[in-house]
Amino acid sequence: MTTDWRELLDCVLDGQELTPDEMAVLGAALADAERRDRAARQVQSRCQLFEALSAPAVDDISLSRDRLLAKVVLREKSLAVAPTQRPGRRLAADRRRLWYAGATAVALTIVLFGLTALRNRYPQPMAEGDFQVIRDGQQVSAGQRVERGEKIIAGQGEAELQLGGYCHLVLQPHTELVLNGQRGAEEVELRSGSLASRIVPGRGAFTCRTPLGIVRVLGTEFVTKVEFPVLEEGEEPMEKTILVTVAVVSGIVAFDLAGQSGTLAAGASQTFSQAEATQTKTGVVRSVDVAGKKIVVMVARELTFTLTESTKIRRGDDAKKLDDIKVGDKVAVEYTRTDETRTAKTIAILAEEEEDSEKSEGAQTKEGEVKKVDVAGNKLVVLVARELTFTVTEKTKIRQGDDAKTLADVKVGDRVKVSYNRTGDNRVATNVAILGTEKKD
Amino acid sequence: MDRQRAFQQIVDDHYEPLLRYAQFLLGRSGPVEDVVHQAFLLAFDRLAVGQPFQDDPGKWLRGAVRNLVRDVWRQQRKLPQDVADQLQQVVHQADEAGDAIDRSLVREALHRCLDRLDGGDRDLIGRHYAGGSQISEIARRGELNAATLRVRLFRIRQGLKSCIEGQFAGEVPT
Repeated sequence: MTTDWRELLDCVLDGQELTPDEMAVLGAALADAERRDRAARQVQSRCQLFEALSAPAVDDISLSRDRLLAKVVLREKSLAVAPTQRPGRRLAADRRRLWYAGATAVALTIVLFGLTALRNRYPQPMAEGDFQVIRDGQQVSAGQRVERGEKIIAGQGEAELQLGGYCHLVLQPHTELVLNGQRGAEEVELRSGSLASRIVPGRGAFTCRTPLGIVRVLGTEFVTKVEFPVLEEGEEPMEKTILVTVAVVSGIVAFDLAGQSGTLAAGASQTFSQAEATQTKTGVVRSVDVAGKKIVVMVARELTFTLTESTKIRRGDDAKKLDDIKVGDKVAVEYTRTDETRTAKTIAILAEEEEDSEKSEGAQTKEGEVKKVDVAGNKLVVLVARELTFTVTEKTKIRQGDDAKTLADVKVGDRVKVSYNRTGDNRVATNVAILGTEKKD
Repeated sequence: MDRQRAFQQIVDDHYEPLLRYAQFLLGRSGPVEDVVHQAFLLAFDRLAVGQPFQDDPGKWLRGAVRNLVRDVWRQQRKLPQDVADQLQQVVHQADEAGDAIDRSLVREALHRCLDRLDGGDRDLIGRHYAGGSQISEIARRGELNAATLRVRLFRIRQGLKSCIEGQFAGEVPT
């Protein structure tokens, strides 16, 4: 141990810990005004030496600055998600009212049903602030109580949601989300905008689903914010990207976004990006609305695609127009989806050879479900990979097992095997075997 | 936006000097970056509540760093509160004295004094400051006694201080 207080002063500034005796020596020295002046001069001299010679404490100052700016962003966000006093009070009052009502119900239910009453105390989702509620595509009156499956759209101001009594969500202006989840496993689907979430630990799970994946609570109380830009009209579709930023103020969240998964701890933030998902669906055209620039295609179900001026239509290498597409054509539609709107980027009218394994000419057999029977017109429409129309002639043999049948015996929904000859677009049935009624799921 | 621009300007102007300042007070192994970030966040909070800096923000930030460093001294280095408070005052006093001098003149004098050091001492100063090596690390590598090396460094610094003061003949180089 040294007893020179000046050396001890250097030791402190070098980051060394002093023993209690050394602290006492230094304390006694600094309590003296004259030695304090000398200490100040020593510190000043040392500081000059340090400023002139020392290397920075951090390896990369620009990275260090970036870390600071990230913390500033988090600070701004944490300020932004702090609940305002009034809604908090209102919600507290509402919770009290709900509690009284719930307590009464519990008392009655205990008498009648016993312990199941506890389940009835789970709070209903509640909303506050500036918001609209969309149910089944229709705007409904926005009361405080909201239901699962409803879309909540924040207005010019913020909106707040309370889920399960343990999830407090703040929707920034114009944020859109769909309320999903269930008791103890609350979930929202954030479609656009910015959402700050504060979750009380130990009360249940919370998941925020985004276009790129999910963010999920792992443990303690946390505040997180997920945001991504709303796509602007007129942007070049290929240049659009979805950004999801997760910033954690406290606690830990798990993410599974844009093909990456992991956890983020307090103070961390990360942005995930992905080019806007483009999908392709193949199906049979059900209707074409040239004026409305819409096309309905049967895939697993009927999907309506909207065409824009930039939508490209082609058959093979040939450019086509919307009125070149006919009902019954098989098309492959490449499109982007925003909410319920599917915008077609390209529509490929598939050549029949591409549609299925049907040969363009000659005898062949197909099996499918009867969609339409036209006895007068001698036509039979069968859904194979797509709807095919067969012409029935006098020579066509229709059988069910060993029994001879007529076209009138064929019913919509029957499963049939059709042997036919194809010439161009004309399919002439030679044999139709009724296999039975198609089973419905 | 004005607030954000003002804050960005403060970061641009003061980030690196403040890092050095915190490093000077805490040592290279101390929580330098945390302290500096905390000081800037305090500045951000100040701007957020509509209190722009009338004077030099750098001076305010150094004050914030001193307060934060005092807490580190007390909580992590276990310095008694009165000693930490006195040390903070000493640093403040040194800062004010340093603000009154022409740093470029002092720096020139310092380099002249460094040139007068013998090779071993100059090497020790260089490894400790420019190289960022702790005394204990230098001692371990050179198989030297750390306490002896610490005393040697202290004496070199005292010698440099006397040398600089001698160059100005006791006058403050304003």
